[in-house]
Amino acid sequence: MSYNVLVVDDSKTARMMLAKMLRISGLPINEVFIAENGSDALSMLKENWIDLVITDLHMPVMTGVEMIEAMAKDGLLESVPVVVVTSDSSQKRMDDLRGLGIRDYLCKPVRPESVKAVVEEVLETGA
Amino acid sequence: MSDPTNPSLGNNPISSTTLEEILSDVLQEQAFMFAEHGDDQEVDSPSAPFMHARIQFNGPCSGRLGLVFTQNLCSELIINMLGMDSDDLEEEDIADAFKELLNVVCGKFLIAAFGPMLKFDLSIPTVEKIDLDQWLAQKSNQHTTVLMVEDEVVLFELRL
Repeated sequence: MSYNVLVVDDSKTARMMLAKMLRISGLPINEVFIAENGSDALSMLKENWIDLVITDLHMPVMTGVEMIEAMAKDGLLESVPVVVVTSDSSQKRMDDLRGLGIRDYLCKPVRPESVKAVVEEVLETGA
Repeated sequence: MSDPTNPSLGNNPISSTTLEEILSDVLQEQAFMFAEHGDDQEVDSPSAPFMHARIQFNGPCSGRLGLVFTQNLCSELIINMLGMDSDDLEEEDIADAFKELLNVVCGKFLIAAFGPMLKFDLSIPTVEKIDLDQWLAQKSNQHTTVLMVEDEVVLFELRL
């Protein structure tokens, strides 16, 4: 079985780094989809089978939090696991995000081994 | 701007030294670049153009961080971060990588300076090109610290 992952970040650099880390992770990744903000991500989620969303928080148009809230209200998307990747990783912020149902988070700067460990754990426990 | 000596903000000293260490760590980890403290009396003025990135944070303490690199160093940054070929670089990509660097540095700085329990709101970073006169004015600013990265002068600014 292989998985489709959606990477959401307004920074092209961050998107490219994460996509590259996923591709070299050795995990069974079928395709890495890319979106620049929460709104684009919601459209892609409705048009494609996505097993995992990895998202930044601070983005123009629609933030990561707004996207997660919209997913939670959508019967078709509520079960798609979300991992947050952010430079803003205070305990308070992470507690708030866990309250919204995120599965895990990655702190920037992300390391390939951290990405692999978190994605593997989320996919193995039921994407 | 709020008072950085407020004891309710934690025990860690909030200083440009903290930021200098974090910038050095992030550059090393993400771009295999090495930073060292610069003696601004000994360095020549580098060649324009320069890129000036800024980010603001608001929370228990408010302030802003700024970074000034030469455009050449920014190009080197993205080449190292993404393993790109220099022929494929576009100005937009260079600015994006520089903003992402500042975003990461700011997040790590806030955790290091104030601890993990306080929540801050970070702005989306901005970047603009500046000329030599603007660079010299920035360098002489009292909030600016000079670093050397890969033998190039880097300026960073911390205002609290």
